[in-house]
Amino acid sequence: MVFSSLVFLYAFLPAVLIVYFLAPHRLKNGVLLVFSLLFYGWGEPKLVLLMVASFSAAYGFGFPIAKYRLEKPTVARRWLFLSLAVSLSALFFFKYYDFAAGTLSRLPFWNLPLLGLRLPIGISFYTFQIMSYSIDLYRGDADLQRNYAAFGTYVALFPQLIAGPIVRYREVDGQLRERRVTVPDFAAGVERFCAGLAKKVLIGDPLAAAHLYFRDSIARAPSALGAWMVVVCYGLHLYFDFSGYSDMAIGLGRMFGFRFPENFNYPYLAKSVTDFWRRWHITLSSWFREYVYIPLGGNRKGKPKQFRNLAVVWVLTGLWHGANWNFLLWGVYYLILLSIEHFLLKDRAEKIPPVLRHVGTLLLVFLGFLLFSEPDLPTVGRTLGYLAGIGCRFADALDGYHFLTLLPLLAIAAVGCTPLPKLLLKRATGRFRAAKWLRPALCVLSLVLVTAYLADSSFSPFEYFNF
Amino acid sequence: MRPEQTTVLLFCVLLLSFAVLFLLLPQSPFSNAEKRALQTRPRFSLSTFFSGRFGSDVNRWYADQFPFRGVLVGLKSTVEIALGKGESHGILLGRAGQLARAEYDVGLPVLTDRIDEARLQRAAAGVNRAARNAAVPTVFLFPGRTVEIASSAFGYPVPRAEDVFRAALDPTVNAPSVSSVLRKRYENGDAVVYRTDHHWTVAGAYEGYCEVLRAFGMEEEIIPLSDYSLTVLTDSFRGTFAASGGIPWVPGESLTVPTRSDDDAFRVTADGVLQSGFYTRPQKDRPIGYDLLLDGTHDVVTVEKPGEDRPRLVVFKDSFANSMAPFLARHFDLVLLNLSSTRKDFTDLTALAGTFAADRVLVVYSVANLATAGVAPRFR
Repeated sequence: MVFSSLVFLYAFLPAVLIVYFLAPHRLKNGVLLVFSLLFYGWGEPKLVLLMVASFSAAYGFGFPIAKYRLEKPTVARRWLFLSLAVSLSALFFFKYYDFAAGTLSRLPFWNLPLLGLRLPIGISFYTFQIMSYSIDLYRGDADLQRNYAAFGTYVALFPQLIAGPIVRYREVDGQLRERRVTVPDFAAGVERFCAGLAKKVLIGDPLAAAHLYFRDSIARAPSALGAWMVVVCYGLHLYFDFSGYSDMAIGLGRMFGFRFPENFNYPYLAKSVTDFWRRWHITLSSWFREYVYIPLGGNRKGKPKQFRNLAVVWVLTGLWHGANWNFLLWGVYYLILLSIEHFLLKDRAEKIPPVLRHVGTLLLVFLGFLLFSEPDLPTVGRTLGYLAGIGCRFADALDGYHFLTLLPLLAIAAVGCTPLPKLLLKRATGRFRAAKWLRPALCVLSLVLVTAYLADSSFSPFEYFNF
Repeated sequence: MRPEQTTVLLFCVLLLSFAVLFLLLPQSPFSNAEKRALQTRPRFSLSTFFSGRFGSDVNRWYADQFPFRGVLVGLKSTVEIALGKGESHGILLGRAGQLARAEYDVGLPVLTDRIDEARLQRAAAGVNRAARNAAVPTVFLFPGRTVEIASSAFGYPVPRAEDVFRAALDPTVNAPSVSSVLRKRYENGDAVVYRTDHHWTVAGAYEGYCEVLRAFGMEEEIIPLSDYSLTVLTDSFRGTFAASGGIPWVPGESLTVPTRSDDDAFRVTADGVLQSGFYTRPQKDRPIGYDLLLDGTHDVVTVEKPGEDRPRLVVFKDSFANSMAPFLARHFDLVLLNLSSTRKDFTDLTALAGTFAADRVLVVYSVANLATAGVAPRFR
């Protein structure tokens, strides 16, 4: 199930809210766990068992880790490795086996069969959450969770199960044991959820359609404008889609009394690639910094080791996004960019005018997303050529027409990438008394519009009925 | 009440209202606007649940039967057009409520308005081959797309699929250009194409008929349109473009048919079943539409005038020919073969003309179909 569906909004969500708030305090985690399993199992009824097995194993391994942590750290470490191995083996098997087998089979004397397994939704997210519990427990950063329902809720909690934010166990440990929901909390959650829903459905999805149109268009009639629209529409779509989903997750979490960490902080305002990664998918970067980069030594052991640590993190980050060469290269692309910033440019970047730094960063980020959006490297290469006007015309009448009709949406999206709407709303509510009603009004308006867009998505006339 | 309380109250009321209305309001198994069956309440079983089918059926059920769905679809179209998108579901909104489909390849994952030149060239090769092999006088008529004929109604840089196609036709192919005539008449304010449907009107079909008779060298036999009575079947016809676009404020239009006093003298059969005439009588539970002409889609339709020995015209056609049939039937006995049939293959024009003892052959196949369907390349 996804948040941006009529079934979620008008069946699942009312049902879970009613049952959750009617349930006695001690059953609330259980209610959330049952509904979360239903949410996950809606589209993947069989694969829900894999998730349950994964978190059940980690729950079980938690006991010996906690028991031996202080007295016999070596034993605790063995249990930790076992726990991580179980989690990672499921992730590897379902997500990376075919990629590894396909790659190895190109070598002489290797002939591994491809399994064509269906990737369980959200497996990368929940595996990282499970690992975070085991590691936090081993380090003594979190207490043992004895309550199975509470631990299951941490892993499977439907708001953040499918697309994050990746919540580290110690961030919600206390909330799993004790949490309260006040009216202002719930209202803040509703506002955040509606904002995320609007970002995804009203802006992100139309931009995805525009991206698909231009991608198809440049394949038939290559043009520089078409290629730029591919890059711009995809970059904006990705932000509104992903950050919209994160907003919805944070908002839903708040409605149930959870405070999830922020995942985005206006990433397209970044003035360097380093700055971009402090603002984009923050919880993933934090996870890798916390559990990979710093344990490897971070930047404390000299430049060569720092580069090695960066390389490990960025190869893993690339592979985390998907099991293919495009994603791996995308990770390497950022390794190169960040290494240039860290080791070559250093403070010299500060001398570049801010506007240029901003535009340059945006350009590098958007071009990098081509590795996400395009199916293979030759297509990436061709599109890069078209961006430079190589092998194509600048634009034709159709490109111009579609560009102009998309301009209002692009303008809305561009403004939506900045804090301006939030600032304007804040200023209006501070200046005009009646403006305090703007927030509830905007929530209702966005929910009605989203409902209209979702109802429309199934509108599919059969034109040639009787013809 | 504080704004936070209002937010919570409105959110919950909205969620619960739609949830309850969905369960309480009557649900329909068929959408007249979309002309398709709607998903009804799916049955639960363990096998459908574990296969994931139950979940996807419930998603479709909610989407299809959602309360006030028509109003919500209209709201979405309105918002998008207000944002300057200029179209809804690939249907352009033009001057004076004129609608037209911009895109080709309806039904593919990615809609495109780019011409597939190779496909049109393959279609032209099929036409060239059939024309070379023809044993009897053969005329090809290619009704244009509304977006190309009524192009002045839209600020849309229409790519001319017909021009690309015609450039690949042999000069010897007898294929009069009806689109240029229709374009001129549209510019003069004549309703030659429907405002809400992809077909031509009576006036457009009449122009097609005139072009066919001229191409057969029968110009002097053309019967003036004034010899017909024009009967309005409905003033609220909303055709395929209106259904596809879901644009609520575009009004319906008149659906008119030409009739003459001797209409009863014709015997019309559709797939062997005798019909009441050129037009099916409207039924109460079905909106009046273009499919009243020759009873809609059939593989083989015949029109004869019993007691008269007349030349036979075999028409290989799509739906555009249905509105030409009443005009052509004054001159010929007709055998109409549906090129879009999913059951039969009528692409061997030469052999079928022999089978049906054709004196002449007419191919009526719209440019939209040439650009998207795979039939014309198989002509022989």
